[in-house]
Formats: sequence, structure tokens, C-alpha cells
Amino acid sequence: MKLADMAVTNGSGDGLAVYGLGSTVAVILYDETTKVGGCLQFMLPASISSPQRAREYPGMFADTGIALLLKSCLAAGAQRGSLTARLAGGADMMKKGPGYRVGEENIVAARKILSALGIAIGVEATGGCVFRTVRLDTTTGRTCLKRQGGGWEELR
Amino acid sequence: MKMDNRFRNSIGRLPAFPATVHRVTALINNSDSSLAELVGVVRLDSAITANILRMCNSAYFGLRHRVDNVHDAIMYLGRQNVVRAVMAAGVSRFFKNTPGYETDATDLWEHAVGAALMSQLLARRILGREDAGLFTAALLHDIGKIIIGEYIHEKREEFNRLLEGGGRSFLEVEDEVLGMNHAALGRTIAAAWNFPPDIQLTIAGHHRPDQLKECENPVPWIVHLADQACLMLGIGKGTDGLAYYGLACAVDRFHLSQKDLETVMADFVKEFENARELVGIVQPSQ
Repeated sequence: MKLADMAVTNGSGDGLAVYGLGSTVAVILYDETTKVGGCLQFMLPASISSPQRAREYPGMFADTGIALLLKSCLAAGAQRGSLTARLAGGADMMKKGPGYRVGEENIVAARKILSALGIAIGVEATGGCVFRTVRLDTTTGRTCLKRQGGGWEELR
Repeated sequence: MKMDNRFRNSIGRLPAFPATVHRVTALINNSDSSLAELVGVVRLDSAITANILRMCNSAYFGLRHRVDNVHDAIMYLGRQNVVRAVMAAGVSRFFKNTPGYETDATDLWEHAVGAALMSQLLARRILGREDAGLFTAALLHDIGKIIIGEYIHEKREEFNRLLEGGGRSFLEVEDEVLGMNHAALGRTIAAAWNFPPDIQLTIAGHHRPDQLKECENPVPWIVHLADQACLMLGIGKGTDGLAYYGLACAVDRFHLSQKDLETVMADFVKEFENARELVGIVQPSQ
């Protein structure tokens, strides 16, 4: 999945994966009753920084991206009350100074937006300074994570 | 010292840097040179010619007409874009799988192109103009990785142990374990390839421009920011990840705010999409 992109699947057996998350954050929504799953890789915490880009790429920002992801999951048949979220990514450079807190601010923004929407975060692998790859198996809801150079491990 | 010789031998085993690239750059910098001379020089290198024709129709270069020959490509690209295209075509052949960073040639090349594009976006904001020399420096900034990767691979466990605590940057661990880091090695490669001293210096200081003697030159600082912005966006995917220092002084130096950097990153996505033909000239099988 590309930067600022999203995908939704209705449980037909397809998995969803995002490769090489840096400061960007993967938000995965999953409804285990209908097996509908959706995934977004957003880059930045708030669309107010670039409103024009938000119109072109709503998936670029936490606010516009998560709103669109939720809408797309519901349109694919997900039940609002059954959706749970998984978060991955949000890494930052070491000894981050001003201007380098994109990852941290992305995580804060995602948590806040999901909380306001009443969607609980089931599992989370965020922060640090590593690249991550995350994968959702939509038939089981299992979410697996891999650090660059490492093996897959299930997020619990 | 023994290790130094190993690195020097590895550099010696690299294929020669294509002379066409430097000859084109010299012609571009000579205002008396003609289009015919440029076309003649480019045509001498069939691999560069093929790559230029692949790249020149990308949206990044913004040509109004589709071109299918070197003459038209050079005529319509304009001098500064010819430098960018020829440099990308020439440098791309050196990108290969790097076992120590657990990344393949396409990822490393994608990061090089990404940093080059990001450097131009930053230059527009910081300097008010683009800069083909900066593009070249950014394209080459991680060239040391094509050699040092195999030595990291041999010492992987030691690297993992030292990085585990999180207190040291990947560059510091390279120095500690190998007595050399990819930035310093990159400088040596650029010198062997006859790149000018300012480009060598930028490669050497792309993680620590604050430690360069010629601290006033903006180029190493912009390449530093471009590199880090790409790492933050996941353009690269090496095991080194984001384990480098984010220098607050680099942001302060150009009076950039968090919002400025976010705007540049937002603009980058479109630029990167437009340049997919540049990324595509390095194939996964290489």
C-alpha cells in the first residue's frame, strides 16, 4: 500500500498489508462479525497543514484519512459497534528535536480521533526508530508485525 | 587499518563510473556548448541513452511532447533536467542488494531518488530555487551503503547487540564495529569517481552536517533534511531504520517550522508519483 493510500476488503480471504512504515501510521479497522477490514497509511497528523493536499489525498492525514476509512468500512458492510482498531508505525528519528515529532504526533492524533469515534484500539506497535511492516488476516482478524530484517510476530 | 584495505579493495572492484556523466555535466556548465555536442556525448553510452528515454517522458520532467530519441529528449528537457536525468541514469547502475541493511537494490534506489526529489522541494522553500548540484548530492548521499552492507552483514549480531539499548545511532555503531561508516565510505567512493569536493563533503556529512568544517554551505544541511524526511516517510526500508540523530539545528538554521516540513512532505507524494519512471530504472532482479 502506497503512502496516503487505503484499502478495504469484505472478508473474501484477502489480507491487507502495509510495508515499511516510518513515521507514518497504519490504522487498521476490523469487524470480526462481518470480516470486513480496512487499512490506511496516513503520513501527517492534521489536514489543516495542507488543505489542498487533503482534497487530493484524504488518506494523507489522520483526521481526513480515518474518517474516510471508517466510511469505507461501513459501506463495505462493517457494523459500527463491532469495529476495533490496530495501530502500527509512528517511529521518529533519535533525539528528536522540534520539527521531528511527526511520528509521535501521528500516534497522538490517531488515538484521539479513534477515541472520539468510540472505536477501541485492540493492539498497537508504535514509536521507537524502526521500520515496520504490518499485515491483517481478514479471515481470522490476526494482525502480524515485522521489523525490517526480523521475522513475523503476532500482535496481541 | 586492515579493514581500511578491505574497503579500498571493494571500491576498486566497483565498475568504472560512466565518463559520459561527467562529460555531460561539463558541457552543461559550459554555455558555449551546443545541443549537437551534448547529444553526441550521451549517445556514446547506450545504457544511459536507454534510461534517459525511459525517464524523460515522466510527469516529473513535465515535457509537453512525447519524445522517442535523445536529440528531442535533450532539447525539450532543458539543461538542468539533462543533468538530473543523466546523473540518475549513470548512478542507478551501481545500486545493488545490500545484505547488511536487509534491503534490495530497488529500495535503496527508491530512497536515493526520494531524497533527490525531497532536496528540490526543500531547496524551493529554503533557497527559492531548485539546484541540480543538490539533486546529484542527494542522489549519491547513501552510495557508501552499496559496499559497507556486506561488512555489516558479517557483524550482524554485534550490530544488533549495540543497537539494542537505543542510545547509539546506526552511524556510531558502524564506526564502532567496522571502524568506518557509510557516509565516510561514500565520500571515498565519490572521490574515486571524480565528483567535486562539495559533493564529497555533503555525502560525508549528510548525517552530521554540524560536524563539517565548512558549516556555512546549505547543501549538506538540505541533504540531511531530505534524507531524514524520506526515512520518516518510510522511503528506504533498511534495518538502520530511523536510528539517526534528528538535528534540531538543521530545522532552526533555515527557520523551518514543523508545519513547513509537513507541507514539504505533503508535496512530496505527488512529486514522487510523477517520478515513478526514475524509480523504475533499477529493476528488482539487479
